Amino acid sequence: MKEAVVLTPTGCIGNRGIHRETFLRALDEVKPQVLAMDGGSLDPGAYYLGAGWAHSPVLNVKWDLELLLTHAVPRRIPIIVGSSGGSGARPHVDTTIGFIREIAQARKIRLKAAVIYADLDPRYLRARAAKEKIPGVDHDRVLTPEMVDQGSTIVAMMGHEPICRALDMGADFVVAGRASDASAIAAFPIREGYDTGLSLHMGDILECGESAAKEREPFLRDVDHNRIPILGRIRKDHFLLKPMHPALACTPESCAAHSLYERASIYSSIFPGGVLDKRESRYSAEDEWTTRVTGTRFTPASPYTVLLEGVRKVGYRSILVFGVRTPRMIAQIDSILEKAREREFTTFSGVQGLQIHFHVYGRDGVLGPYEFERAPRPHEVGVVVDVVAPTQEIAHDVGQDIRSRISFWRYEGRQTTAGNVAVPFSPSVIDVGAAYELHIFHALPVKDGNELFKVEILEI
Amino acid sequence: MSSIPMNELCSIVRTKNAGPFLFTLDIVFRERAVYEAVKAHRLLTREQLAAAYGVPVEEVVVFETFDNVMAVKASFRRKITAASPGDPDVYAMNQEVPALTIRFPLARLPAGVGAQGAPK
Repeated sequence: MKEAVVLTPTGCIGNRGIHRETFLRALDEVKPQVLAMDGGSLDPGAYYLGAGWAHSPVLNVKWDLELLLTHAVPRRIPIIVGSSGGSGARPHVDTTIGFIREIAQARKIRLKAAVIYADLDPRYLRARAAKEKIPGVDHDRVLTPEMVDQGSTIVAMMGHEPICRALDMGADFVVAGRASDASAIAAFPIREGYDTGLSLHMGDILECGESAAKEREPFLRDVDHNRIPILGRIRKDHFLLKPMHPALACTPESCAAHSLYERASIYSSIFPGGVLDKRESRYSAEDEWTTRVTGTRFTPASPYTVLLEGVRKVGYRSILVFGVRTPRMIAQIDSILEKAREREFTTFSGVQGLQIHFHVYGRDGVLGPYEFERAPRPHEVGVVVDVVAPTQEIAHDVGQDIRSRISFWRYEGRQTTAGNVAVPFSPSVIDVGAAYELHIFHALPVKDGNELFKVEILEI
Repeated sequence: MSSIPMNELCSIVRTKNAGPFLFTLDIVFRERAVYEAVKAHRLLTREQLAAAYGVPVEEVVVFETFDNVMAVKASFRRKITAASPGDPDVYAMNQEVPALTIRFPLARLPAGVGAQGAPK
């Protein structure tokens, strides 16, 4: 039967690490035609995109890359990684290429890498924003030229098209910048002529690796590198999913349940260039370990739009942690914190863009505005003070001032005149570095999925 | 006892970001008969979830049921963009708690539910 055989070795490069034995067995037994996976997401927050940092441990990233390079390249199995290095901007992609070079050199492996940057030229985007209404996604703020100017990093999420082009050029390793996770996995089967809807749905389930599988017996928690490769076989009108370790199974329930995960709707998801419609998707058991999926459809959008993700620097962050155990102080904690905050804004009144946030554990530290429980009063309260200011020095100063002010705050009935709170660290104020927030999350119309993304070949 | 906490009938009650501007609540029921009763008697609604979270009903932007896995899904507009200063839960992994306050009247559930004390 004609089919494309895709192996997703891990739900995310560097995230806990690929289970070596299972991976090597899978390469021999199922002879995958491609290894496809993602390397990150926006979920860990704006910081990683803004600062160019990875959010997976380097040790595990190298573990995964070493396995991929030393075993797939000699077998001539192409490797595709989307959202390389975490957020998929230029520094993340370049870090990934650096690791690949280092390992290839040490292992004497030669390969053709295709690099696809996802960074957007701000001048181009500014000009577009000045003359068009570029709509927000999940919010209603139209993109303005000023928002583009404020952006420290802006990436566009690619679909399968540039990745297919990289495969056309004979790449052994496609290092893609920000990409739709599902598209990175769907690229190979779409290029082979398989249905776009089924390919994307397969990618959409495979992208989290064994998260879509059920554990038949406890296994994963006793393994260090415990990401389990999952096999996807796509045919004319269905695809099959199977974990490569027998302790795990892809069941109709576990695969269907994955359409709940981390997405707003079960039945409809927006991907680069269109909408995936799962209303007619059906899941059935093929055998004990394997699930068959049919019926998913893709409706191309006109015009084609790509999702933009952009962050701006809001200043520098310092944090302060302290605990309160004194019952009289806990009874007045709300008013003490609010008044202390007001005083800081007066003391530092010339400071533009100063933010002070309190995370009060024991009160509403977890639920914030959704907290509904007000009593009974906790016996202990933990406070994390988050200060964001235009410079690190000012943020630090504000933190020090708050520590001192709250330590000696003369609240009603106070007996702790040598100091009010327990500070667990010295220095008590911790400088975190630049702080970012996401401000661009917009849908940019383009001619087609290739327009924004250039494929560059590197001989390594 | 004339009502039972919803989560005693569930295998999953969880939240997570669905992009930086939304978080999504997944509720998966354990028994088919309970799930069917929840749907038939409209025991769980968009309005009820909005009330549990103390938000206007328009902030619950998606409300869906999923027969395949006996699930109800609701997606909420976030009050603070994920990971912006002031956000208490960057991944929105722990925002399920207000949903735990929802209770179902036993009279509307299949006979025997809650009688022997549902597993905690």
